[in-house]
Amino acid sequence: MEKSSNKLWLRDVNWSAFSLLVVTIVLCVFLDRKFDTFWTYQNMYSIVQEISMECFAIFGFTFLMIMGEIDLSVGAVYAFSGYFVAYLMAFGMPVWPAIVCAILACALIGVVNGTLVVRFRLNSLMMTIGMMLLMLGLRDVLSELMGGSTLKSSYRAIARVEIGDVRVTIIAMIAIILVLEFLLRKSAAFKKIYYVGENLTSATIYGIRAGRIKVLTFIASSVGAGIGGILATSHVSAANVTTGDKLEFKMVTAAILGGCSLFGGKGSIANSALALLFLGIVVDGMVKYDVEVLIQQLVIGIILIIAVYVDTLMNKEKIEY
Amino acid sequence: MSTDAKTTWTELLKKRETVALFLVLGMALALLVRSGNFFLDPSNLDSLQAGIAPKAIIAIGMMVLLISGMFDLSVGSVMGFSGVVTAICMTKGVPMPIAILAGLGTGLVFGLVNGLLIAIARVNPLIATIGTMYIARGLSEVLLVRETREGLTELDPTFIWLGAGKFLGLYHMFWVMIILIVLAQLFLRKAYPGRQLYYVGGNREAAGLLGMNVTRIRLLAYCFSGFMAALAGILDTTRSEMANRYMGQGVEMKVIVACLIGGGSIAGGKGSAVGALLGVTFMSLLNNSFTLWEVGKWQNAVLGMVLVSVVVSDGYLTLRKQRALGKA
Repeated sequence: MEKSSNKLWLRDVNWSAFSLLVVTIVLCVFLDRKFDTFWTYQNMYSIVQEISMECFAIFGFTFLMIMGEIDLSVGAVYAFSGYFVAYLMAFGMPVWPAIVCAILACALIGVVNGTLVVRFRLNSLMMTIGMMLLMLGLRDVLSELMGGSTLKSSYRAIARVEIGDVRVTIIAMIAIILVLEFLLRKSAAFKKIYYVGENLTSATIYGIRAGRIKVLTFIASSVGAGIGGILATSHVSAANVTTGDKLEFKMVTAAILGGCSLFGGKGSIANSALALLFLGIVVDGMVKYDVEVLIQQLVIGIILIIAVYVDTLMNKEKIEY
Repeated sequence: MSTDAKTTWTELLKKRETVALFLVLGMALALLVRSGNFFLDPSNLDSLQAGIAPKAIIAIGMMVLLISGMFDLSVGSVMGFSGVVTAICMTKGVPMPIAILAGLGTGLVFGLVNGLLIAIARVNPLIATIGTMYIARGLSEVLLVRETREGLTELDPTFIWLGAGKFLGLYHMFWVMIILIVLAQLFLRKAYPGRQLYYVGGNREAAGLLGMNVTRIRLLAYCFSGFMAALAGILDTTRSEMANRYMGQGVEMKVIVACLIGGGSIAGGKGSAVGALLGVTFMSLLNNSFTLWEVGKWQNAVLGMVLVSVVVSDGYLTLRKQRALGKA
């Protein structure tokens, strides 16, 4: 799109991403002044390492937000997939087939979410909350069937693979961010995601098969969450219930901080990932200040509400309720 | 409305409340047939009452919101938080009536915050109430920071009597629920403010054009929902004789599912207080069957399944109606 007038160009700059970067840097400088241990390779590495697994879930999630949909089942799928792999392996299945099965199961969840939302024009928030409960329930069933058995070492090794002292999950995260961001900006196929989110009716009139794209994106979201969950579970020694807990909440916060809108049509992969890093740093800072876990959640909750409020202010004309 | 007996019957059969009634009867029958002795055991019936009453009270508030096209995910946390506030006030030596008022006030404040965020600041209802849900949960953790898992257990016997005392074989809180259901049903059917809720939920713009103050109606509806959640929390505290961090967890989803089963719709404009009660009764019987048939681990999975099917059927019915009106 050509922007001839200067004013339009100014409005076209993604201020939210820019401000987020500034805030992140300010926060880093502040924490660096306060704590000697903050700006060390060790600390930074552990923050990035933590994010690298959650980041797999945010890719599809961001695509969905751009299309004006949402997937609150990511946290539950994240939790479920790790358990599912562990469960299959308890029956003697080798690690890779088990992972493939788990990813296929996650894809199936995405198909169900997407098809139902598109076919019956459901509110995706409500639909995926249902799916979230369902998957958490299945996770509980699996956890009860397995007892407290630890994971097999072949499974635990996956997240620990390193390429030149850097965990493979971090390298994969950076590679995927770069590729997806490039595709989102340059490829015609990925641009359709924005068109659908911006104006569904006109996108359909121009021959974009919005329903199919939505279903595919729901699949991408579930599969991404599934992969993240498999990696996160492989990172710990036994599958436990805290994996993926309230992840959907963090995802929404990150996506909206990263410039996505609940009304669709906006957002980018790199910014969502940056926002995730920002949240990681905020949490790290709070840990260093000995803030209690629940108050940490409170802070993230307040960040979310403010972000959504700003998003609402900027989209007044799109409010339907 | 036709006076022809046949049409009235088919109309009655088409109503979601009737479906909910059959679900309740079917579930009760299944429980009676499969494990009648345990089901009719007085202690089981007591726990069933105690399970239904607080949820039905919350469900009245939720139904009012659903009718006007909104919902509230913070009710479970607000319920727990109000119970904790009341209990803490009493252990700190505050007189009981004031402690109860403090608890109810807490609920009202949370309802007001939700209302301000949603009706005035126009934040998405789901996100706003998820936010207040975590805030209320976090605050009750802060209050209980040095308490054990059981939480506060040293409560005044008079306070316990208020909700868990019995009159004609039913808990006081069950009577409170019955009275509230009757009042709410009359309010929704007969009173003008009650009818306004349906107009707002059915067609917000038209309601606005007819001169209704949509913002105020929504704000009040959220306050009402918060208040009912607080009332339920206090009554629940009297029966369980403790206030702890686990109270009210997951209640919001159960109540929403119950309301959708009982004839509410996410699209708004539909629902009744009696439907809310039927929905809650069904969910409680379902829950009871998990306990009696010892299939507890499937509980959440089935709840999720029920929610998915209810949301899908609700969406399907709404879509069909819109298609019939030529809107989609």
